[in-house]
Amino acid sequence: MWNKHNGLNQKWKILYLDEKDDEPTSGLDEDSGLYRNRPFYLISRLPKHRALTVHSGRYLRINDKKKDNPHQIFYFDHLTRTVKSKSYTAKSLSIPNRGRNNQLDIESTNARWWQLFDFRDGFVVNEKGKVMDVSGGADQNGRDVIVWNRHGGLNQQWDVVYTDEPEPPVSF
Amino acid sequence: MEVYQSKDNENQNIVMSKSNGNLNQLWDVVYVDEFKGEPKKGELNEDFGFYVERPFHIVSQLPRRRYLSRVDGLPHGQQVVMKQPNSYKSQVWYFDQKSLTIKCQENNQSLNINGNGGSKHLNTRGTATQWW
Repeated sequence: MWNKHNGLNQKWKILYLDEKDDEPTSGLDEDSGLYRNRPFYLISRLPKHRALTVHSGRYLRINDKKKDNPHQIFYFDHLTRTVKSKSYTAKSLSIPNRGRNNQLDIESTNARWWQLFDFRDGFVVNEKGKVMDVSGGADQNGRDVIVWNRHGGLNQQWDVVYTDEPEPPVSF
Repeated sequence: MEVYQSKDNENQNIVMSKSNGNLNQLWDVVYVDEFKGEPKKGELNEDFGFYVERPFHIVSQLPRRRYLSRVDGLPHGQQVVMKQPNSYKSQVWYFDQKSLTIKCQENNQSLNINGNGGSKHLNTRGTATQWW
């Protein structure tokens, strides 16, 4: 609560649920930069173009991409606005320990800030600014994926490749 | 006849005092056969500007249009934040005619200024129908 000063941060709109348009379930969500409910791979821009992969039901690492491997397929869930794993649909991309450290995993969906990520200009950006990062920049199978302050290195850059579209050419 | 200390609280005492024309001494006589009754579910409460028990979101006018949301685990009694829209009842509010408060559909507690109004922090609490 604060004294009234008419700033935009004090202005609110009451939106009755029975007047609310149905939430779109497909198409581009412009805020997040991701298409709703459209499965995709997250491909590292490091030279081997490995895919983000769920290990042991929780941990996130890069591995060689295998077509239709559900552990490498994610989607943007329009209801919770989180990135979910196709293998574990009750879980979302998450910074563990309520966002307090630099790890990254998938955890039960709660849609708190440590589970909110946008895709912008090749970076997967958390609500509070850290970006998804291949740890140490090592382009190796099984390498951990973490979050880190953005420095623009290739190990922080990703391509979203939707499973229903042709893959971009890979250059070595 | 006046409301003691001008406090618009439930169970506040009514006392007698010298006339001063203040609001706490002014009354309307409403004949029972002219009384429309309190607004029912779905009807507008004109005094408060809310429809009774009609669920709503409270949407920030800042650019990302986030929704007012109830969360746990914050310090200083803070429980109300804004978040991107999701499907949870923690973002759904309604006006309760009985208590004249705004309640969160997640726990049916009332929007409340922490510390009996002595703080800037907002949360939800069991309904007290006090000014805070």
